[in-house]
Amino acid sequence: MGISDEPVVAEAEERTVPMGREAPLPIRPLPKPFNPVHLIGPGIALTALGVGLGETYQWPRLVIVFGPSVRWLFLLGVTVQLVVMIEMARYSMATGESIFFGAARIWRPVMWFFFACALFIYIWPGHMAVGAQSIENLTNGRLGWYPVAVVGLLLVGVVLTIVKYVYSVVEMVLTVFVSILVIGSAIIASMVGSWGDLWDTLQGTVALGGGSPLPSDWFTDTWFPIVVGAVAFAGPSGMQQMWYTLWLRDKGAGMGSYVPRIAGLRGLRDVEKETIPARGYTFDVDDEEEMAKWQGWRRWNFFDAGVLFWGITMLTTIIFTVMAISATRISPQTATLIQEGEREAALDGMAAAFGSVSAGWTKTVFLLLIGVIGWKQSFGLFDALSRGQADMTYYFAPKARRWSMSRHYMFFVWFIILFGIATLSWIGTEDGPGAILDILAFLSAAVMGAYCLLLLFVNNRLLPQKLRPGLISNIALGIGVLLYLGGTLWSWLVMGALP
Amino acid sequence: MALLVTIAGEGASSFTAAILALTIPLLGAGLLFGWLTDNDRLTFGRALLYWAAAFAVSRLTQELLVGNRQLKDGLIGFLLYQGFVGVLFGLGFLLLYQQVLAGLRKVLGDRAPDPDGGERRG
Repeated sequence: MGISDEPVVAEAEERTVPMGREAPLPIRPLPKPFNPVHLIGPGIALTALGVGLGETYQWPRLVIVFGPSVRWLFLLGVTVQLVVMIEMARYSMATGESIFFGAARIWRPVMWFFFACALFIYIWPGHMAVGAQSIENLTNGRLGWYPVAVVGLLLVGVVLTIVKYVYSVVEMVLTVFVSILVIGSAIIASMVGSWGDLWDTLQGTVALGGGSPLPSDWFTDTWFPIVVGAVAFAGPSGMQQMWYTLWLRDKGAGMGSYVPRIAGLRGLRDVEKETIPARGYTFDVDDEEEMAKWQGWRRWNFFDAGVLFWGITMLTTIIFTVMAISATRISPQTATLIQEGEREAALDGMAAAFGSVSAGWTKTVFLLLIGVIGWKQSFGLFDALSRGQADMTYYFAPKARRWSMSRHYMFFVWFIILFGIATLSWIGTEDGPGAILDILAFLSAAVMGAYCLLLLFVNNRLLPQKLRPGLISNIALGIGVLLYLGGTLWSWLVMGALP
Repeated sequence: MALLVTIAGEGASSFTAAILALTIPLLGAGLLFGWLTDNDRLTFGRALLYWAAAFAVSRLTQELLVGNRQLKDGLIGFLLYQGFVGVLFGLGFLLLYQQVLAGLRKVLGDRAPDPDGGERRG
């Protein structure tokens, strides 16, 4: 397999753009942009990964406890995530590199910080455990959560290993699963919800309606960490946005088109014949035609971020909030469970409440959806985590290039799966699946603040002047730093309460 | 789903009528959607509007056939709510439809270009 790229003679002649502390980027033609109006792409993969327990449980819970008027904070959180997504894509499409490479261009220890964070935060198989618990509830205990979770983990590993090109399969699986989630939740909501519930939720999204938009209880030791965590869980939490840059590259968006894809066993021989460049490429920003193509790529990304990510995330959460309001109206006992924060009992209570209005079938659909969320979250997260770790290891670990990036990827996939099975045996059987998910949620907000800082620096200092973000994007990223990093530090250092 | 319902020990017959009363109108709407798409009559925005209307009508049909015929919020409120939910349903349907079409193309060996219109150089 070829490791570095062009011959030395060619390097002396070609134009390059210096960028930070790593090698300068050679200039190549920017490929023709994709059609801007599209449905299938990295945006939908990120949306599928992002729509999880924050949308289906945490935010509906806050609405039940404090009233719909607190939903403005969700709107703010998802809108900040929209800008983050656009800015992540700006770097990745302009250079063909992941944002981790961007971090290394500032200073390699910054990148290794994210490497450590990713392993520490995402190695826990919490989503799979909660999804498996739902299947156990659905089958009245006939299928235990532990064997279901182990089989689910092994299935993730097998699918990610045997395919030809990994990204196409990840995109397909996540799209199918998010479609099922969206269709299923729409059907349940249509049965149990009402125009009144929807109107309250919509008013609350713009800080109108019943209750205070900033309840005083939020600033207590009990609630502040939960609110910070819920803001982080509005849209893609933790490092999911950073991994979006790797999916963009494998999709061939912008300059990512010059970097080979990650392959599974069936495609390994093909990709190992290809030459992997030692860094990305960029394009000539002084050429008007190239800048016109760049605007085309931006339009494609705006649709990916604005319609697919922002639109689907907002609609799904509105629908789940309506469902939670309906569940508490149907069954006051469920309202108590949700208010007490007993997640598993609350989800089961919601399922029972839905079942009571439809001869039982909406209960089955709801529990299936929670199972679907658990599996697709783990599938997407394990792919993305392995992809990110493989990228950093391949480019920056000494002697790592003796293996191709695809081999590093497969190593991380199976390492995480085997660690996950061991964790389920060790922690899960004693404390239940919810305890594992809490470990994951606990650590997400801080790293999101860190990547907002990273984006501010990388896109404003490293990219050529003509490609840098505008004032509004920078303000939104600044709000992200305050919300995520400021919130976590305030909670931890000032209030002494950990999320 | 039927398999899981059976494992759960619940009889499927208790809700067969409710499922069929919703599935059959949605199936009809899906067939019409396929025809409209094949004839290039639907853009992305129109497709969402189509599903807002089709879903609301399907739910109304279900309520009239097997429901208690007392619509929450009256007819207008009911249709507005179902139309909103129908937009979400439509997004899910469009995504699934695209994937199923892409899968069928692969099975049939169709070498049509990527709908994104992209090209890979790496």
